[in-house]
Amino acid sequence: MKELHLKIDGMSCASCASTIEREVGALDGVTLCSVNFATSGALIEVTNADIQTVIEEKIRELDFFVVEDGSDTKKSENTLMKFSISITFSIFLFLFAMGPLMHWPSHQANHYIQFFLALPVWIWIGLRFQKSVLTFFRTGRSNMNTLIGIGTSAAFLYSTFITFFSELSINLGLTQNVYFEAVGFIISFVYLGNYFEERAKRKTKEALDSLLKLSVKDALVKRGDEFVEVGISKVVIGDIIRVKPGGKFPVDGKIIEGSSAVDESMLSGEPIPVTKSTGDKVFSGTINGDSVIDFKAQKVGSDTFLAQIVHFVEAAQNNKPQIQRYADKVSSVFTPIVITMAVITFCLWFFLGSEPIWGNSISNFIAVLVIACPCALGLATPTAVVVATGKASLKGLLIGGGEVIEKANGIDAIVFDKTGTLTLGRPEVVEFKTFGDEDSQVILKDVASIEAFSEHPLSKAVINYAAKSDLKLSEPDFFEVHKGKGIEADIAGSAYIIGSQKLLEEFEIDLSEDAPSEKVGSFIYVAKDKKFVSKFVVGDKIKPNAKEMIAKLKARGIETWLITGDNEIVGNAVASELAIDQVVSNCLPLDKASHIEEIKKSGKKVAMVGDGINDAPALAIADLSLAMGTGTDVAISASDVTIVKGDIEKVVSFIDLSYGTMKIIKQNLFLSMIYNSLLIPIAAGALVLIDGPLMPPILASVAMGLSSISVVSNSLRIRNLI
Amino acid sequence: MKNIGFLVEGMKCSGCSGKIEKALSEFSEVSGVEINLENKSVIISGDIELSAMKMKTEIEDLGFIVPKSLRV
Repeated sequence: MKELHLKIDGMSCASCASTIEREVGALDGVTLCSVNFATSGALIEVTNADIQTVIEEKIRELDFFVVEDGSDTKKSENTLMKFSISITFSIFLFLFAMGPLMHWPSHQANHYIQFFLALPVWIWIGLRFQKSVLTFFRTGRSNMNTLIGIGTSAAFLYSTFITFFSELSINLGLTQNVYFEAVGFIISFVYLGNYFEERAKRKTKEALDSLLKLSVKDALVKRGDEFVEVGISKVVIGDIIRVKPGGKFPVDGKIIEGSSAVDESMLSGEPIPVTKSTGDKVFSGTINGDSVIDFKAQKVGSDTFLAQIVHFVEAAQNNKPQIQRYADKVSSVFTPIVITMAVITFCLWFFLGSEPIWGNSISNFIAVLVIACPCALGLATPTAVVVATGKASLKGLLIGGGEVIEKANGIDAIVFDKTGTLTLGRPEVVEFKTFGDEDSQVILKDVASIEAFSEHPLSKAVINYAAKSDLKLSEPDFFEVHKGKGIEADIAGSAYIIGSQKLLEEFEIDLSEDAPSEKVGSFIYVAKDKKFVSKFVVGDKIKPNAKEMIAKLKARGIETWLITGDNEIVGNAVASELAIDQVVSNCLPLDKASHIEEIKKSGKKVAMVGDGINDAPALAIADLSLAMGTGTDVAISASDVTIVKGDIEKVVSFIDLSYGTMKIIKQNLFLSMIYNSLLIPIAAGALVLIDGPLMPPILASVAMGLSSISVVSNSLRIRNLI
Repeated sequence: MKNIGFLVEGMKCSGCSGKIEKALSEFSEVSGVEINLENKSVIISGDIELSAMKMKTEIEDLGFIVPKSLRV
């Protein structure tokens, strides 16, 4: 069985996607085909990888295109290529404009050469900046690209006019400055910044892909007197379905025969399987434990629990708003200001200036636009992001890119999942008590030896606990497993009954000595020779640094929440031990998400930290999401940040790093604009008032160099943040 | 010499018992395996000190269930 991930181009609506699903799914050797219209991704499971060409042929036949995979790497390679071309041309431009080749071979020919070097950079590499200028004039919306576009276009068009209509421009009295090299350098630097950001962007898998992998393709359905394998789409309500040990439940339903420990971590996040028997409900995607179960289908197709989770995550991801990047926000304010200043400059020169009125007005108008175009603007965010994500990955934090860092600023509340996030997520003995004058080491040794035979989910915790004391285990002479309740066994001449309260009560053992436990968890009672002798509490330990982490978040003014699938007793116990502000218990996966939506509605920005499949909807809907690297693939791929080793303290490191990085980004934006802004009056011709010259073009280059160096060295300071 | 016995659920025919017998014979300490399909018993003779768990797992890996041992 192999999986193919294809990107499909040319789909214009959801029905295109279902056409592909239907047609490709019908091909021989294709066991699953799922196409997502929004992400244009397709997940196809095939029995043999060789049929990929057949599949691609089919897709082309349907008038769609298969795009080569790995487009992210392609994109960043493409950006690097454009940067390389652009910077090469710019270096030559520099040599001709102010380097050793200045005025070579002749003044006029030199300008022609510069024009031809700048032309491809301006119109081909810088196309998107020029396009955004057009958008600005049409809609009034501006971003960083607009500012870059206005500056480079003003510089290029003015310089081109001077070059080709030299005589006319002299007659008009235009300043004989060309700014071709500024066009080259500005565009090059922005591309360098883009390349940095694309490199920093982590390639994320689609959360849906990993969710879809949970679904089952076939089911053993009773037809007549026997069970036959049928495709999942053919299962209808009322069908009797058999699930073998270790198999997944294909649809939702009710058990009619059998009893088994079912792994429902997908629903609850709890690692301990739940014992289910006749009459109990089972859900698609959960995993059957150790024995055969027959159940009656009650919900099929898109009504099943798993289908609803998939649907929710899909909808949440498709509707996720794009945040406006800070650099764009600043630019959208700066652009109109620059244009206004340029217009004011024009007017001042036109009404109050000296002859030649037109020449001076236009020259200085252009000079303001060119000088105001901050070339380091394109580097301000990316350099900071690259340093921050690089530093973070060394510390075990994988950050999805610059947007994530910007989103992390202004988070008001953080919601935590319990099991596996705040706790270690594996059952451990948290309390072991003996009653009477029994030797606790002997009891522990005997119980652990017997528990090896019980295969109950809790028994492993006891065995691990005994292993810590370095006890030599033996084997019972006799054992009998009481399914879902416990085990009875004879060992070293004593008869033990180990299990739930219910089991010991069935054997009429007096439990009156039992005292309430301080710890929260599941209890294992032990009777030796018909006498209650010991009790184990198996619970989920809280991670050692969780409490400190919560305190630190609160100190930073962030509200903390615990939203868990576990019951109130456990939820409240964990919340009070960690001093978490708010707690919600008994939440199914979609409940978690709706609680997050509620917090969002109260005007707060919410981050979610989780690890399980049951957290996926909440992670997808939150403003920002962090997943434990120790958790499920589904959670990791639905999240913006991965905490590689599940070290919960890293939540604080991430918040601190994001705050620090954002501060640096803001400083960078200031640094990238300040030199240029200070030079605006000079560009406007202010020096003329004190009998000085109009702006010397070299000043634009000086501002460019200074601001770039300032920005880059400022970004490097992020290395000391965490 | 210590013998052990298991109650094994899911054995239906001599094919099943053959599989179990073959698997258990792989253990060096096992000298004989006696299977009774009717009362679902598997009696293993030999010098079995600390390998009962492994044998139980072996049988369960073949798809049967061992809910209890038998006193032998």
